[in-house]
Amino acid sequence: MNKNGLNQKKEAEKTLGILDNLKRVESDPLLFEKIQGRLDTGTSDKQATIVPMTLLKYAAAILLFVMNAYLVLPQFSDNSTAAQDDYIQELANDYALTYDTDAGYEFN
Amino acid sequence: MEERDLIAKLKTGDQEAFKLLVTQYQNIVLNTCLGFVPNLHDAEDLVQEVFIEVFRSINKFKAGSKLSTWVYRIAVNKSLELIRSRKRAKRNPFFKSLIGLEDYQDTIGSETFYHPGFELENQERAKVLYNAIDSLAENQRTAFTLHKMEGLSYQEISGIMEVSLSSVESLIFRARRNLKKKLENFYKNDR
Repeated sequence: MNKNGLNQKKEAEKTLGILDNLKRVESDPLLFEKIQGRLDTGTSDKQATIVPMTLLKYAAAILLFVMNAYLVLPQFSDNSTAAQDDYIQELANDYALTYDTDAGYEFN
Repeated sequence: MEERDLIAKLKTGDQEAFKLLVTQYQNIVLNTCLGFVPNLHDAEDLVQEVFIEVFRSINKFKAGSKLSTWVYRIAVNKSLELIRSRKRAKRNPFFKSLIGLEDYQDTIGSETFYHPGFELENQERAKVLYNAIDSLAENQRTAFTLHKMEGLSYQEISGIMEVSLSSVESLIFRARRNLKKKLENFYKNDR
């Protein structure tokens, strides 16, 4: 094994070795009071705040979807077909195109 | 107070018993959480979550098993839940913002590395180690963390993880082998 390989092994061992000197961490002396406070106010969990926010976001997403559907769907409805046909016919006339699909393609 | 009496009192919602439980286990829970989430602020938040969960679900605690095993299990699960949610959020930030996880993450703190259990000169090395641990499979990570950081025996870990003793041995062996490989690769690429 080359010198670099040995160094890598040594470094890896050294890094794993720092766990042997890991010190215990002391907890916050006011921990119980903090937990008590959260239990008393009923805001004991982050979930308590996340749920209404999530619901609000879902509601907003659904509202957007419904509004989009309301605006987009009428364009595909039968009522607008006639207007669409007129519009396409006008365009076809402007550009001297044949709108009739049965007419076939003719070269002049 | 005997553990049996403590559990009985906890089940009646006794505040003094709950205070005693918090006092007895707060350092254990904090150090366990720090083993998974190496940021003091995040770990302290998790400790509160753990005890609230203990208080709320004490009636689900089955007589016959040890209270410490159960508390450890809740601490491990809460820590893993946070790690999972962060990984999910990293993978899909759009979904995260849509369902509100962003707010959840913001309230539970940052991912900045700060583990006060390591000497100041070892903080960088500890960060490298935690990055390697983070890439382990969840069960390897749990067994390794409980053994190397909490100093628990294989027997205790098998109780917490609800797996056989031989599985714990194998998980720790594989975790150590994988960590060595990952660290060697890290130092190889670091040059």
